[in-house]
Amino acid sequence: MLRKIGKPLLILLFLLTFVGMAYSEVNVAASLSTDEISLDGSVVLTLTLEGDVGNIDLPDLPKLDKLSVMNTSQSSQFSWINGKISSSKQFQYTLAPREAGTIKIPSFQFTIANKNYQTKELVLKVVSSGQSRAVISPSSVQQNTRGSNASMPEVFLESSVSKRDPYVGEQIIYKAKFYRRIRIFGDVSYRPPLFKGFVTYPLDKDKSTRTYQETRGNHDYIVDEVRAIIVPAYQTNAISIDPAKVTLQMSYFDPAQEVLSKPLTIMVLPLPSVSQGNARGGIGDYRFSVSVDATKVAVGDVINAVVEVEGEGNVKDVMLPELVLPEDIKKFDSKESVDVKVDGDKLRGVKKASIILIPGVAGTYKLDPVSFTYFSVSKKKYITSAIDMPAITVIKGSGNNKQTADSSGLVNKKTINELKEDLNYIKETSRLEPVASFNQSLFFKLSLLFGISVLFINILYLFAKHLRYKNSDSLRMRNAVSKGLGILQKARKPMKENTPAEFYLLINEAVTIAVADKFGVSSQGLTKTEIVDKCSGLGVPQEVIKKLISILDLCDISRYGGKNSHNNELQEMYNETRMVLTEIDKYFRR
Amino acid sequence: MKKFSFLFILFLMVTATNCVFADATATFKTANDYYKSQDYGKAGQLYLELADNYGIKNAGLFYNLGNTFYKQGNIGKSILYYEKALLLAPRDKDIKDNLLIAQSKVIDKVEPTNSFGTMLLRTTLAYFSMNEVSWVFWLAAISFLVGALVFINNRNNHRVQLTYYYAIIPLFILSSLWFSFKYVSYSDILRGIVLTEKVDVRSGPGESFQTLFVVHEGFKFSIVKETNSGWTRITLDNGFNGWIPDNVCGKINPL
Repeated sequence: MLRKIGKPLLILLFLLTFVGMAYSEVNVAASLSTDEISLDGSVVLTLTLEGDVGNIDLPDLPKLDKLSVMNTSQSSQFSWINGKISSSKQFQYTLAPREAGTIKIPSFQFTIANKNYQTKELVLKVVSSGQSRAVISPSSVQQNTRGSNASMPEVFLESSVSKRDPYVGEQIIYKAKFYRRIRIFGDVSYRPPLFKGFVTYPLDKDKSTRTYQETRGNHDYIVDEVRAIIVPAYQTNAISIDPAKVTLQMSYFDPAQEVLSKPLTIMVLPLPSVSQGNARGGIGDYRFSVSVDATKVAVGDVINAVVEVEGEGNVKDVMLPELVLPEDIKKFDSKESVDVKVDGDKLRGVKKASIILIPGVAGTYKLDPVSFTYFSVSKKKYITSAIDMPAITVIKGSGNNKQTADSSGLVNKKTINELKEDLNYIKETSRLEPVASFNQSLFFKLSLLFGISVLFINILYLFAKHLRYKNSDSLRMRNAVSKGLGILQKARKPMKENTPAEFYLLINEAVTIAVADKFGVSSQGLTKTEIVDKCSGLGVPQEVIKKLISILDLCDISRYGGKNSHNNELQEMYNETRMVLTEIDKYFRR
Repeated sequence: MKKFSFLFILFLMVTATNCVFADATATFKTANDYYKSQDYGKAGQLYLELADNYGIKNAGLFYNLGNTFYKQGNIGKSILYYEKALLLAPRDKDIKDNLLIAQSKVIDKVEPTNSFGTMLLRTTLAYFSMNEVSWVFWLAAISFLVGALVFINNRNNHRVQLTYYYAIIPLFILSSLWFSFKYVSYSDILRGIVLTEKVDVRSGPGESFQTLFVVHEGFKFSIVKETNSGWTRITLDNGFNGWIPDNVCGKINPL
């Protein structure tokens, strides 16, 4: 047992005894992978320490104003050659320039075993992207080299975009490719850039990642490719995309390392102003179609319309052209679908809207043409295309179909807004009155004057009449016969009803009052003899006087004897009384 | 012979009147055609000719004049003629609408200090035209006169008495009051409109007097006193008063 372990143990003791002697010297060196790079490239700064290095940590870099540190890594080596043990440590810094020109990298300064060491100053020339003489290769970009084969690293990460000078809003494809030609034992994780100034659109997993084999620099690599759709949002001019990062572990013994891609700079171009049409956000090359499945339907029937935009570009961001419909055709919410594929470095796809239309009122509707405006990247200008729509004939429905729009919302009611205020139109009346108002007219004035005059004359007449008949006796005499005739008028009623007693009573009263008033005496106690004498004195014919007396006699007989008379007799009596009173009045006037 | 002469003269008068108004109607139609073709200047000239030369006082004519002046950018005169038209047709919606549009261009605004009663009376009086009030008064007056004749000659008729005392006389009194107020507001309370862009209202009838306040085109005011000196004393609804030159104001009434 002792013999089995004795030899290795002796070797170990030997090593431990002479290690201090062998590590007594330390060599320090710094180098660049290339002394000239382009602005969009990167360079690897390697710090090599040989000798008694011990457990030195990753030294801090001197202050670098014009360079960004993209990646750091370290590696160690031990060797025992001809009895001599040597060790070395390499620290690698992947640096990316921020501006063109000559950049000085100051020397590293550090202390090992109380002894100061210093590297020499390095100079790096950075030229603009188009001026670079160097071909960007994986070894000159970001890499993680292992071993001495630095010309073609075992793993590296490369990023690219499908277009370096896209327009604002144009979709481009960002690719990150992780190359490896060794077996990696640990986990590999990918972290995409932040894409500041861009909008990103995720792709389906089967479209966003793929693994394939590729030969680079006489080496066969396994390539893991990750893709994403990015869109420059609003910012124009140069925009930088940060490096992508892959974190991996080469073996169980190695610490985790980061592999970064180079940063990208793209020049975002502004879109020109729209000269015609209403741009719907499309940037690329498209064609569109509109179709309806029926042009003759009944009220309430469904018409399926499909609006489709197909082509290459930012299909997802395209706003589909809208159908311009009359108010009587109701549009229901459309169902949109998008199918985008990555074809090489291009995005192709179809965006489609299925719209349901329901006419509410019968009639023939000529739909307006549908137009679509997009920015053509290939032609570098806006393109507007239009499609004529067919006329839709809507006939009156039957059964449950609605004839007109109802309250269920079939027809959208819209508030009518006044677009512009203007005067009401002139009046075209052909009737032009010469005078403004009626009160100024001659008719108004004359009619009132006439009315007032008539009234005034009437008042004067009545006043004169009043003065004339101021003596009540003369007035009584004048109105005597009129009064008698008035009472006689009342006798017509009993005459028609054939009531002789009442009739004769009124006849008697009419004659007595008329004669009494004419003579200016009281009707009470007036005798027939007095009547005859008075009438004779005035020259009334005897015939009339006799008739008067006979009337009074008949009245007496009727009143006291209850005389029955026929209607004809009463009528005759009435007429005779009227005639007699009129005759008497004539003689009194004389 | 005398009878025939009278009829002949009457015939000549009627014929002449008809000829004049046929001519006026043709002019009015021509003016309307100019307006349609948006030649507002010529349309305005013809409308003014009808108003001034033919003496036509018509709400439609004044309204059209208001429109032509408005279309020519003359806000003061457009308001003046809308106001004239509104006197003749106070409930015409077209006139009211257009007057509102024209008044919206007026810079000045005055809060009236009148009492509620005054405002109510003014609103009530303004609701009916002088023409309408005159017709009502005429009917009431004729009813009163005829009623008086009937009443005087039938004093013993109880029904006539009731009708006369309780219907005709109150109706006549009310219509007389209404007519009187309307007549006063129509003929005696004069109103005017500022026709120039800006007018200094002075404390006396002359340029040498102090400027009290400034009114602008289209502003409506009441005329207190007219003089032969070329200056008019005006008052505003808020009680401010002062003097302005005659040539900067247009009188709404009398028409």
